[in-house]
Amino acid sequence: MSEPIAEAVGRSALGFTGTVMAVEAEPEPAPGSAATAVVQVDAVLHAPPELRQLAGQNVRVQLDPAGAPLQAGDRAAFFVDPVSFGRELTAAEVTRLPVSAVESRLAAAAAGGAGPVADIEQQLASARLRSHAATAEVVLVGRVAGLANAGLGQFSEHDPDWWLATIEVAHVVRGADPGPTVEVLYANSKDVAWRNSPKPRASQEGLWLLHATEGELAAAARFVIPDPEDYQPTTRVDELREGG
Amino acid sequence: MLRIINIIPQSRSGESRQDSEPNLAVNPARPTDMVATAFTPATSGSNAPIYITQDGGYTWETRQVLPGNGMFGTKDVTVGFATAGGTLYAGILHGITGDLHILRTANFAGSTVMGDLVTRPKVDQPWVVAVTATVGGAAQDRVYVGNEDGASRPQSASVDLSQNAAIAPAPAGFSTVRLEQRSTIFKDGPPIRLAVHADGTVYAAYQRWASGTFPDLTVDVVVSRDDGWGAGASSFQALADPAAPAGDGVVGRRVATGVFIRFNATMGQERLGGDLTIAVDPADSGNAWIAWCDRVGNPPGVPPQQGTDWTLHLRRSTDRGRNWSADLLTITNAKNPSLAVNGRGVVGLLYQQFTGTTWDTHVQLSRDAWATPARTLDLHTATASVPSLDFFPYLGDYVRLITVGNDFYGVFCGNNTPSTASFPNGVIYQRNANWATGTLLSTDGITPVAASIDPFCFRLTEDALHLLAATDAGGLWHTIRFDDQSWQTFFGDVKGVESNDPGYVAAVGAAGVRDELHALAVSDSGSLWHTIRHHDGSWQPSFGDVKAVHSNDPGYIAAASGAGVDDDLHVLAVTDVGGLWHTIRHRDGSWQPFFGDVKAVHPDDPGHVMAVDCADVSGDLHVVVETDNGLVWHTIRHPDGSWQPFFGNVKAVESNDPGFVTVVACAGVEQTASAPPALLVEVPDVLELRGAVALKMIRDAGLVPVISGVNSGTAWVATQHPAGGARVTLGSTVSIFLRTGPQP
Repeated sequence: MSEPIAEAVGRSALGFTGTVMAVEAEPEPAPGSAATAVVQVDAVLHAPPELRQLAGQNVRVQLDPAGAPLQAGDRAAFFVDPVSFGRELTAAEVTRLPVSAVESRLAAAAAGGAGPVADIEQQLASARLRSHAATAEVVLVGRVAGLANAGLGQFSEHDPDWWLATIEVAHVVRGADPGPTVEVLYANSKDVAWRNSPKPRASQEGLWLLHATEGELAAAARFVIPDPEDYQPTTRVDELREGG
Repeated sequence: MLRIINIIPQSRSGESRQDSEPNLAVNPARPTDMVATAFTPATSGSNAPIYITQDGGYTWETRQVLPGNGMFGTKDVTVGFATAGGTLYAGILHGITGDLHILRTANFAGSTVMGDLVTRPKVDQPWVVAVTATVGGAAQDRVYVGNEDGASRPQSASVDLSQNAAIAPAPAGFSTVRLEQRSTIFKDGPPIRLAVHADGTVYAAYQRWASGTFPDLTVDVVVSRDDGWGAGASSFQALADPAAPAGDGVVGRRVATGVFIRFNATMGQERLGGDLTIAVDPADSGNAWIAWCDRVGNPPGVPPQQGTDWTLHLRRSTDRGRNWSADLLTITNAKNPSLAVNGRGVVGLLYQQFTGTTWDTHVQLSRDAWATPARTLDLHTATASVPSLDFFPYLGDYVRLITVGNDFYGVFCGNNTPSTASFPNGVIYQRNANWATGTLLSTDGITPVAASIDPFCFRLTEDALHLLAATDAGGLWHTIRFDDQSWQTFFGDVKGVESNDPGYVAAVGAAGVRDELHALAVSDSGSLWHTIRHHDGSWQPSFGDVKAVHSNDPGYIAAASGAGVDDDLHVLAVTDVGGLWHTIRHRDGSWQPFFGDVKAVHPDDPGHVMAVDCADVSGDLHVVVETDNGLVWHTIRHPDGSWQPFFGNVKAVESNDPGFVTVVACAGVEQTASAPPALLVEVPDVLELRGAVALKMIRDAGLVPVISGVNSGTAWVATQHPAGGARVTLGSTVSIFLRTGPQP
């Protein structure tokens, strides 16, 4: 991950090549403030799903004061974080690379390959998984053998509605072996507060990242999986191993 | 007039999230400033967005100013503007921790994260109401945040309040007042709603979970009241139940007892359980309204526990909450009631109703406490099965209706499929959509986007037609046609209510500026006079001599016209020598210091002007004049003060000639999706341009580009109109063909 583009992708939510259409100075510049460049997007490098069709659009880029000055007609690879959506997107510049740094990737993507930075995004995802796994008490591969209400009650619309999943352990990747089966608390609620917490299904197989319970939950089970990343497809187990 | 707007900005056209549970704040000091919220996450960063508009809701943008950006933005969030000063307050549940944060900003449109005033765990549904009181000449923001306070359980219906929240550092005077005085089974219901009157009366409504076993609950609907802004050690004690046997004598008047709620039951993919709203009449703090939902068990005779309904109940009090009516209205399978009362005592009820196949959003307006059928406006209808539920709440545990003066403002969430059938009263979309196919389109205007849940804002004004008439005796008379189709029963003598007499009125002009009528009177001496009819029916006490406040004299004025644009009054005056002059009365009451010579800023001269009219069209001032040769000319003054550089000959662009024109009139008429424009636009010449640039040019022209194939020629792009120039209907599809070879 030492490539400048890898670092740029990792630090930004959106990356694109674009042509500067205009540079607008702040009317009353504050210390450390910089100009805004109106940049027409030529090609998207990486983006959240709702911004993948940005090509041809203008993005107002609040330029990093430490970056090299730009003028109309300049082209660059911009790496930004969106800050405001309106008729146009306004984004804060994180870093900038010359277009030459991404041209070969764009050409490969245009030839029918994956996204221009798909390999980097995969590496970043693996790194995030390894980082999250490091916070888990036990990481294991297993299959859901049973689901039951934990009996802890649900008293408001935002309560988690705790249930217990019994997981048959196939393989312990990390941590102490919990035995042939392990009971894990999970939030069964579909409330906005818990929607993305894993919801085990009967006979579901996967990679489970188990966290130690605390407080009143400890009486119900040793482990809990509240984080959306706590369940992964079994195929991702190799990404943990590669990370050591 | 009803105007509905999908508030998702154009640059978010690619999103297909469940942006549910809306809220809305309107700045009473400047109602074109609004803030809306929903379960919308920021694309990146640690702060969640609000939606803002500064043009009355025509265009919306986001600002990432709420701390705690979770998977869906914040959790519960509500907002409120103080009635003066423009300070915005928010109550949120942090998107990561779930903790309550009470927030403040003096600049709602800025990008600085809102300042934290209070942070506390285990709180549900913070509900913000803010007003401004004047004490000793100083403005003080009274801010109330109703909430179900976990720390106070089992008596958890509470309100955090501050008597002066605008300036002081955190906690800015906030403290927590427990409303619930009775026992509960372990807590109160999530909604604690507030209605604050300018005289210091504060009503609080909450749902006491009196008995039952979760989720089957027996509930009391309770109202507490305070008569001094909620200040003091024993606040919200002004109302109590009657003594036994009529009641229990405890503080907190029970409007209904023993109603049944199956908490978290579902209907049309939505959960149920906590629907409550209260409102107070701004003209009389003794008039209060309440609505809630429960299960009555219909069909008749079926016990609530065995029913499937969710029934909305509406009641009122005319004695400061001591006594409440029976149900004035019930609506089966409705949720999210929100009540508001405008300055004329009209009560608005916004709600969403499940029909079995669709979710329908309505607002009812009643002038007579539903003694006669209310005027019902259908805001939105769409299938309840699309999109599939992502999380609860599907539409939201609440909506919001508020009033500023006589206007109603509201926000609701619903299926965003672009279908005219879904919006019987029209709608405006900022996000890209193909209304012909009913398809949302991404930022490129091409890629289809799945239907999802979006927030919609609306403004409902009780517009009235004001009529001014000059008589052959030189009099000036006024009457009104109200929005209920009735007419004021008499002509009012305008001169009779003014202290001075402008003389024989030879011509008149009129304009609505916000909620005031501006009247222009041209006298037979060639002078121009101005007066105002205020929203309360009173008139400015004397005619103002318009020429007297200008440094130049345009000469003998023969006719005048006015139009309100962005809260300013624009006046056009025609002189007896055919001149055309313009001036502005600004919103602060000051006048532009000189009459501007309109002809002088146009290189062409349409000739001797005989008549004029003007109108606001999307923030531009449009001016039409008739000349002594029977022609009609048109020009525009833009918001930046510039004018269209020529007078356009209107007859020259029409296919037929109506003949010699003697009088002109014009009006700006809103165009919504249900009345699509049929304007012709020119296809831009995109030959030789790269694909992305060509796409943008086509879109900017108001056309929809579709990539239909590849181009084997020498240009980067070819279209079915190779060199552009063709005139096609706005919104037409333009096929483009992309070159695949090397750059020509």
